[in-house]
Amino acid sequence: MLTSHDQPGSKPATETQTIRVALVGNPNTGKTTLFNALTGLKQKVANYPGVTVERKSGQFSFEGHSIEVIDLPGAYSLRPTNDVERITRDVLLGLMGSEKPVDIVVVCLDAGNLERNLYFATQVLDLGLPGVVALTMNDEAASMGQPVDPVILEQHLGRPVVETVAPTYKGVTELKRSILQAVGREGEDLPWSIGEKVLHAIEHLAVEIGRHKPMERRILRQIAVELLLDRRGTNRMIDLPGIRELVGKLRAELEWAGVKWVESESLGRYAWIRSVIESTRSASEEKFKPSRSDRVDRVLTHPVFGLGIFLLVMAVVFQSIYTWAGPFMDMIDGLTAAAATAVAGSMSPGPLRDLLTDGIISGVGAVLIFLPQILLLFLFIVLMEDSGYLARAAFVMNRHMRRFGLTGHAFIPMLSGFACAIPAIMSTRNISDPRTRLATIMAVPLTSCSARLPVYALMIGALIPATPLFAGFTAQGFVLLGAYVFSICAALLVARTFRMTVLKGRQQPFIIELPPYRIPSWKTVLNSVWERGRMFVTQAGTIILAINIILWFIAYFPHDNSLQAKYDAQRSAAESMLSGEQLELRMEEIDSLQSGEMLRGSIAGKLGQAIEPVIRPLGFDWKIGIGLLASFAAREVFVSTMAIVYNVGEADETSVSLMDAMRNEKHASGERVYSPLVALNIIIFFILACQCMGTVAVVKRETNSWKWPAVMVGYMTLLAYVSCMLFYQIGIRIWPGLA
Amino acid sequence: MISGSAARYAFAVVDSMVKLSECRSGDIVLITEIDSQVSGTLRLRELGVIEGVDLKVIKSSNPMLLHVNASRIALDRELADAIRVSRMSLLQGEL
Repeated sequence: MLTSHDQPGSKPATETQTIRVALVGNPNTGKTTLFNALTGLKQKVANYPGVTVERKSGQFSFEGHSIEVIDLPGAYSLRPTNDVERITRDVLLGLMGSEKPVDIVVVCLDAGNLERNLYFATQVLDLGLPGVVALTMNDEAASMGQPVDPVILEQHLGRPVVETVAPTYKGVTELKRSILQAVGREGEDLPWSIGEKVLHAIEHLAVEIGRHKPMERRILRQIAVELLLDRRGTNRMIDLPGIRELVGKLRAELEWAGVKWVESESLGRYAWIRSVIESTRSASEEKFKPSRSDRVDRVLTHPVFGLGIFLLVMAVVFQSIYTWAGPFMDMIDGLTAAAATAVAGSMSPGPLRDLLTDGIISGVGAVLIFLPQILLLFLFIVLMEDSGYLARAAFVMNRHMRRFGLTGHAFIPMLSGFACAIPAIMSTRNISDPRTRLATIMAVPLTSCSARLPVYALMIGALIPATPLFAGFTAQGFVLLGAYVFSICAALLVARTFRMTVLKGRQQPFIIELPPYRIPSWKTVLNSVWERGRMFVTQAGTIILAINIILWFIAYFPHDNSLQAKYDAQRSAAESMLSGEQLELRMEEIDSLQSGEMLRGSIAGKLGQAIEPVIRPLGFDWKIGIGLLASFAAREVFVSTMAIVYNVGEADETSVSLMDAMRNEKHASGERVYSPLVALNIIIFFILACQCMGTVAVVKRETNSWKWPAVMVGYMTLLAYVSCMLFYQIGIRIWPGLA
Repeated sequence: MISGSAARYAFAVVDSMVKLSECRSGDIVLITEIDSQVSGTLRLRELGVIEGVDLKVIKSSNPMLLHVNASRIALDRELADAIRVSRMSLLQGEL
């Protein structure tokens, strides 16, 4: 008999039905490690619809039962402050339409930080779902002299408490057994008290909500608690008819009766938690004793040393990204070229072959070439995240980011932008304030990503003299450094401008937990790097590929067959007259002459000539125009496009022939096209303009609208154009020698 | 006199109703009042920063760094303005 996992209703008995388990807990509780220990490698990562929060799930079988575990994002409270926490609430309360209600919750409790962990745990257990508690890191707590007694904890919570040490799989089997046993067993109410008057108001509100949305009683009560007590207001249930008015009335009544309703939940829960703690753990013998992490933090969070170490760490990270990725990028480049050659050799010439080799294969190559850098960047970010260092970096940078209307949380995305804006924009998810997050997304594409480097290298190598300035620095090095400094200044100023205008609003206060330092588990680290890399390839990659194909079309058509015949005649003439190395050189020359002439006659070439009047005031001619148009989708295309335009055949940014060609290029009037001023202007243009389709696509995905990508492309294009025009027009007047 | 919750130690209030933002590194304080009108205080409450809890100021820089229960929590100084505390001194024992 055929059975499908997608149709549980078709199955005869409950034993064959998949049991759905939600794994929840505070951040940094070893939840992900436990998830990996439970599910092994049978994992699936996708996105929740409409948001870019990852939905991680995995499967395991135990005693003939199939169990699906959903690893919900770490949260401090069921009353969310950001998108990530909102998912956790929506899934647990059954408000997420795409997610069926779960059968069981497994709550992770970090034994080393029981007070705070229990706050969220009691909120979750109040939902009344069958529950199991996984007590993690009790070994760590024991080594600090404060072990937690799981038996006493179990008596208080009324749910099975299983001690787990995930990396060694201790307790994992027992946890699986407890999950099975808990199926269908609703948990009893925890005996904490919110106060009689508040409770009364909650019951009243829950009944009203239930009239519009019939739901389980305890879930209704949790929604009522949130609507009544959380003024941050992130639950759309408030829009049900009459509910907003009722909430206002109930709050006013509580106010009038002198009840501190805002404080009631935290005071009530923590009072009960304190009584639980006092009975599960011997009284703290050494309160506020500095931990090992505190001693490390004396240095790492120091305003001067901490900043210095942080900058040093970043320098090492970026240097490694460039150094280590190099060989892999060369390898991918080689493989792409080999694949193109193989395809070209096995097909007859024609547009289809050209589309395959120049459009699709080189398009795939253009996506994959950045994968080594992106994976390395992810690796460093995950390592910093899992070791606990990332929170310290945010702590140290917060003060500096505040001046630009951002918070410490915004620093990591800004920094990642130096490698690639796409993962950087994806990492803005943990910024809780939506305005700060948007301002960060808008500013990140200005940070000098690795795709700009080839353009800098070409322009600086060709046109900036190696004049020594001071202490071993040359004008070339100075310009390169200047490009990076200019880009970070531009990004910060843009963020500030957005925060002062369209994204104006009070800065949300900065609150961050500094988790204890831990040695990351390699399995967990590699797993997250792999998943994030996969998401990049499938999501950003498909768009980059599509754009590359479109670009190929406009650079290829209209395809003039008479040109093909003309150059083929030249080829056969060369074959009959030359031989050996001379023939090879001549053939290469003919190839590049042909591609040059075809490009000039193509739609892209025509467009380049059409926009010349517009870019003239910037000091650019139509050939640069073609380069700018071609690099609209991806900056790194500029170098290879210029090589085609100047008929120099295969070229990279260190190509001498391309640099010579550019140096010797003259206007009709006899003036040189590429002065140092034009070179600087091209660099400025590449820093400021939005020439990356992948970024546009990822902004659309993260903001879930076309408005913000449009704003981004608009402001960056305008900024690039105006800045370059001002720079050039002022430049030719102040330094005529450079023009 | 209010005494701290640690079993082997006793604290005495030396300075009551000061702002948390005015405290110095190393100060041990008891939270007496939090202005719930200030945004961000609700998240602090959820993290365990509530009335009646004692905490140690690890760093009085901006952001401030606090030792609350077993957590290390960093927060803006302006958020710390919203928290009133009693500064305490150690009567016996040693930290």
